[in-house]
Amino acid sequence: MARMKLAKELMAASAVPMVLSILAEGESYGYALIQRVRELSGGQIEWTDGMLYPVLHRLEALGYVKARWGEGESGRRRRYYALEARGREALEGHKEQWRIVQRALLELWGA
Amino acid sequence: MAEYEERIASWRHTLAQAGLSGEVIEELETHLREELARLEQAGHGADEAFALAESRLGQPAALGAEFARAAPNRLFTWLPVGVARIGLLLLCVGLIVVLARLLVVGRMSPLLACHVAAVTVGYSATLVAGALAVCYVVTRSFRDLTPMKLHALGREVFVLTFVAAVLTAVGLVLGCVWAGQNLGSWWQGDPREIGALVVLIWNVLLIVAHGRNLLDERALALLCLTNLVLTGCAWFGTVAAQHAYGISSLFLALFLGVLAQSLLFALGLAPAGCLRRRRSM
Repeated sequence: MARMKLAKELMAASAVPMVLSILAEGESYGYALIQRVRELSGGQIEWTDGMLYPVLHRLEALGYVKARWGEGESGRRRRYYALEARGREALEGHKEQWRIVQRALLELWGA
Repeated sequence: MAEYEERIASWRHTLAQAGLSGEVIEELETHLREELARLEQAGHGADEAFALAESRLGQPAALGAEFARAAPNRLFTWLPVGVARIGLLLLCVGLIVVLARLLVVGRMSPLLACHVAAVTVGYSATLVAGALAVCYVVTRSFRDLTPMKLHALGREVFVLTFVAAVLTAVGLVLGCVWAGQNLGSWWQGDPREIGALVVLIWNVLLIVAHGRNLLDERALALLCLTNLVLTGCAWFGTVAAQHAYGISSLFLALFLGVLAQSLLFALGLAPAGCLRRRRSM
């Protein structure tokens, strides 16, 4: 199956809910998040790796996630991100919005 | 990984030039190294692996721009917040200078100086929180704040309220001790003491409500609109009453204050952008 290029706006809009949802599964770090997205989408969604980090920092600035420095496997420092209560609330908001859009589109497409 | 060191060093340099901070670069470098390891395992040659990993992370200039947008300069995330902080800092400095001089000359006891300092800063913090609330309500009626700015406001107001509560409590205790030493009893039932107690209780209530997640940023700001009139009464009202500036002018000032506060509160509850003149629709 040829890899589809997702519209830039779609990637941008789905980035935050996706990151929040993955972090809801547990604390993680940038590289692992990207791998998880690749894995979830069967390789269809390929983010520009570097662009994930500004998103994470923005979420941290908003208080949605909390970051800490931890040790990685190679002995280098790794930044771990964990979802905060406010992040969970925000995630619920995102979920609701996506469900509304999804319901409308699926109905239009007769699914 | 030795063959990459030189390339990684120059890559780090380009990121630094794009304006990224040391911590961010360290985070991205860890990512780069993990990606290089993965690509090598997948069978790519060193040159290819580095080119791939570098391009996956994106152009340094683009990264720099994205990071700048994601976590803007903390002090001026929202202008009023930065101004409030600087203003309060200047107040503290001025206060220390004035009190230190009085202490040195022996015209004030250390106890009283600490009491005055604590109460002054505590009341000022409460007033500043109220002023920020006013800024918020007015700004919002033209254009709603971005989540980032709202978060900065909420955080600042909370910190100010917390500092105000602590300092007012300390000031009140010190005042009681001083009163006990110099006036015979630690509680005089003086309007100023009651005023301080009211301000303290108000700030504590706000903190407790915030701690129990009963208030979001907007609710906290709206409640802080009360701060100005409340602290005004506690600080100046009691002094004015003692000097009998005229009960009628006092009541007029109070009435106007409460009126302004109520109007601002109503504005805060109205939809965002309600005062903006519509261009066309």
